[in-house]
Amino acid sequence: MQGNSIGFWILAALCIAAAVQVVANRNPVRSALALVGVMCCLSVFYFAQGAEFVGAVQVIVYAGAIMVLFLFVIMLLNLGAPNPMMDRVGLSKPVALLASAVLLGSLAFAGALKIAPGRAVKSPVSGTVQQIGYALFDPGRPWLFAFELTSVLLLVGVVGAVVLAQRRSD
Amino acid sequence: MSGYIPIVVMLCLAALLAAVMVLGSHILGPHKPSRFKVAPYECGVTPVGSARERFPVRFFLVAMLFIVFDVETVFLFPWAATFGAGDKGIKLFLLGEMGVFIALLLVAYAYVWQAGALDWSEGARVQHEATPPEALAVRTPILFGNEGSGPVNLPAARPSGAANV
Amino acid sequence: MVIPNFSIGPLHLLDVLPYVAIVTILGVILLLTPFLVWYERVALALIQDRLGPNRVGPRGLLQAFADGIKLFLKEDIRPSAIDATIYYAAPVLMMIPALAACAVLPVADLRIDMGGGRIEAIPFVVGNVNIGILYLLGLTSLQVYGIVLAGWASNNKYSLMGGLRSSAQTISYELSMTMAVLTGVLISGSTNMVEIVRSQAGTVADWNIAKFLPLGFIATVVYLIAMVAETNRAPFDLPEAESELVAGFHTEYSSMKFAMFFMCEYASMLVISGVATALWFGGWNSPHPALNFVPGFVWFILKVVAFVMVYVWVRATLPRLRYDALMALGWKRLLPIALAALVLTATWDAVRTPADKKSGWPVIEAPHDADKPVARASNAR
Repeated sequence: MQGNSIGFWILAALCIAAAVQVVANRNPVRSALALVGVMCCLSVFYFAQGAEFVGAVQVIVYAGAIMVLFLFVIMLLNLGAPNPMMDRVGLSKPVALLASAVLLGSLAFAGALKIAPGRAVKSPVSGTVQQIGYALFDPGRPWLFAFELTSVLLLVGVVGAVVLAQRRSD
Repeated sequence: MSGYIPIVVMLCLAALLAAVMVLGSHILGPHKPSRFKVAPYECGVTPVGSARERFPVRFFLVAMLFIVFDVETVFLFPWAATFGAGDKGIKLFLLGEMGVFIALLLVAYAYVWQAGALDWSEGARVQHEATPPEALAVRTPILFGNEGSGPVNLPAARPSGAANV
Repeated sequence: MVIPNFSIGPLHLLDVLPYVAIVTILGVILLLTPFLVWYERVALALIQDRLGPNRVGPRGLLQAFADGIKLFLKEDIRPSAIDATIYYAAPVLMMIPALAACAVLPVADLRIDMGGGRIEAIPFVVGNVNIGILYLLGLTSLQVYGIVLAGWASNNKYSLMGGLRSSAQTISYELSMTMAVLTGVLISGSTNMVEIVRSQAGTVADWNIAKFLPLGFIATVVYLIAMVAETNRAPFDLPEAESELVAGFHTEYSSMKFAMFFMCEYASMLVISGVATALWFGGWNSPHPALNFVPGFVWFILKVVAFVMVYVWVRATLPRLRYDALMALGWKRLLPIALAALVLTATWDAVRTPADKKSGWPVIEAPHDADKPVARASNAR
């Protein structure tokens, strides 16, 4: 148990450091890389909670696919040049500060009120691939419809991507 | 979860090995940089402009499509892993369930195909945009200092009638 | 061959075994890479009717070692206008997944005497985990970063083009590969590599390639094609097509960093061949029970070596694809074929299941809801 919580704190520190880098780094490519780091840390958290499948999917989908797209977009727009987004501050900085203050405050409030679970809650289902399959595809479970709806979502995503990518060349 | 500890150890060991290789050769190797040595390689010609050019939107499209189909495979894994365990009724039900899911994705796939998003050959439906002139204007060559020297000055060609000693 | 379960002080054999596996597998991969390079050069020379390396050591065997030492001691050139951190990080980012991917490769089943004559089969593997295949696919997908970042950070047009091409190619073929792998998962009914291999015990006919003929075979062929493309090897070596892109994404890399990209390629070759072995060709299982006296790891190594030979043979035989043909093959041919193989395998399996087969699915428990009393849903099946 002791080893687990030490691991948790080390990982949490790493994760937060990477997350800060995402926001603070001036170079978009490095920001994106830091985000990959955050994703990998999150994946380890899932593993530690026993959600093996979700942890693996976190790496495959987020780190392996979505972040590659992010990198492509950064390169596509050539944002990766050494001095990219200069400070166009204006109102954005105070607004961002306010938003993060509100978020932090509500998190602290929730923690104080024990709304958010402070203790580790043992999940009712272990996260192996089979367990997820039994839960997701069983006709007696309520998640079947949501699963089928996902494919509609993906269909919309594909159409949107193609239309956006080809709009200007027609 | 203890089964994962050796894997974490292996990941750390791999990272350590890779870092040692990079650092080791950095320390052991000589360092004699020169202007020409550190110049970007462009087949021996003076490099022109920045290398970080914009590139076709097509790569972006492929990454986008990849995400969609990747999410599909993520759903297929628990399905495939539990399929064999069911009895005949469950198997047929699972087949129909996934059939609807895949059918909708096939619609997406057919749309992508007919829209030409999978065609990479030149002269396909999507035409590349011509580079705008202002983008060309910023392509300043990197100077190496030897530009003015020009070709080596050879002695002027002798008239053909001159004596060949 | 039965190994007694012993312990030295507080260390028990079963606890230490994964770490023994780490050292063995990493050692084998690192030591084998120079021999692989040598083997490839000699085999290519044989096929092309020339001599190949023959100066350093007997039959040129030490040539690759000499090259390695030379590269390690060469000047570490730092090109101008690079993004230094990412430039140096790229080979490391590529190496980690390449080496760590073999953590879930099951090499052999050790028979260990647990005391009292009880013999248990313990797999010789670093991590015998439920999501083995997904771990492999996840790490393979992370290898893209090494390539694309190396190309971007180098500040070289060839590198950038090579990196982009390579990443687009890798993600495209990853799809076909995943679809083919899914067929294997469906046949074996597990995502655990060890269980997948164990489900293929018996004769050749029990290997996944021979199940649901011809569907298992088709999925295997799709996997084999996709695996060559995943490792960026000829005829899919467009990222480093030397006739158009100099050396692709590692054009600007010198000394050991350059060698690391090479090592990654060979390590990936070994790992992906190992996955092919485990998933389709029975892993450590012998082709016939009469040959069971040969230890499992010998079979595993023999099969992996056979794949490496095929890799070299294919490289020597097939010309490089054009890029549009490459993408068309991945997206328009392999992907639909692999998907069809998956769906048809499932259909066949469902149809031929006897009606009186008992379901292995668990009884549904009522969803966790604090407000309602826990009630067990009836299970009609």
